[in-house]
Amino acid sequence: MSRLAKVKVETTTVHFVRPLLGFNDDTFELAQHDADYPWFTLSVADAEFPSFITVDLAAAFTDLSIDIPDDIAADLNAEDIDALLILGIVNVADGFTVNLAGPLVVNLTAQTIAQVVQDADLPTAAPLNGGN
Amino acid sequence: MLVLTRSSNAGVQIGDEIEVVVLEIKGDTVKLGFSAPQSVRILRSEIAEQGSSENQNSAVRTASLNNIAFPALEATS
Repeated sequence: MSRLAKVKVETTTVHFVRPLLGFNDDTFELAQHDADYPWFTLSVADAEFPSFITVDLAAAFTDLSIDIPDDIAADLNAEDIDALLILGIVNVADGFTVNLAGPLVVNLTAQTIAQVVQDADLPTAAPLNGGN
Repeated sequence: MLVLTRSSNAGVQIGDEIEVVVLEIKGDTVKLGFSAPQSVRILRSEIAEQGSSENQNSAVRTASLNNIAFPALEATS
């Protein structure tokens, strides 16, 4: 998975088609963090918590392969897998690390999102270059 | 918690659409097979717990997003 071209995303309401692990909220606002591509914020609608900092994995990791099962792709109404935005949830408490084991897959067209837990043995706290 | 004793190749029906079958018992390891609708998420318990924990550890208050300095990134291969 690699994509060097920048994506531009307007603030978009997205709905989890499957629950985000550990949370019951299903409606979030996805926003590109100013012009500081490839950072995105994902904030629950109408509440102060939770919000997440996320990063476009295609930009941050050029040699990463993410498996998206057909049933989840169907739930996301994804007609073109390559058009999906793949985000990693970032933990800023201990430096900037990203969870590659549970990426978020976003279909901006359908405004759907899902966390796709990977079967492959991927790290939950991969360091981001430039994040230290 | 409901506890049932099952032998190899025996199963358990959960509702009308979910079946769990004991495929193999070897030492202290049990191999299970699941039949369920695609909409049902099936995860190893430790994976689900880890995923939940990771998400909760990464969650922040919306107001705090303004205080975070987002670094410039270099792609990692």
